[in-house]
Amino acid sequence: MNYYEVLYIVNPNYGKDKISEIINDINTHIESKKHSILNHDFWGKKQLAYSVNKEKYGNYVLLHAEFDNSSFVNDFKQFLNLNSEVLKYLIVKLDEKPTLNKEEKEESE
Amino acid sequence: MLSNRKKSCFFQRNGIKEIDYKDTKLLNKFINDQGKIIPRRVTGTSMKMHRKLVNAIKRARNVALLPFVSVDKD
Repeated sequence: MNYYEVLYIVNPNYGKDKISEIINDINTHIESKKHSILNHDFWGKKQLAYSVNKEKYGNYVLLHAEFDNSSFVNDFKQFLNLNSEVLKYLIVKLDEKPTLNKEEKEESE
Repeated sequence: MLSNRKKSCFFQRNGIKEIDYKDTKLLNKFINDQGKIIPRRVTGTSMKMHRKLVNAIKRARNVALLPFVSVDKD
């Protein structure tokens, strides 16, 4: 049981509806294997430091999740590789449980 | 930061223990115009934090947050 952080870049030409569709797709993929999602946030459109697939901009999405077995990471990598909407991604294993966005909001209120 | 006199670790001075690869504002201080990582002998960061810094910069490069090389357009 480990916590993972995934940052991925979605094609910049998509609108918000299409991006939320992709986010839902990924959510269902993770939840179908019975792993839990902690945060899934859309960062916004940003300029890339170098062009990726001839695109100069990218939509960044950050995902915090808990995978029960480490073999799912490879599974998830394959899923992202096959997903043509995702330009690039980075999966990092976290030492500690990430702070939940919902909790932060409640504290500030 | 780049003064010739007393050098001290930026991270220890500011009480930073972990470096996040998403914090490009911070990482930008430790790369030069070409996008290269500034050596430890110049910045004065401690070995421990420099290792973490290098790791963070390389991660940031991987997701196009920082450049591998940036060439001046002039």
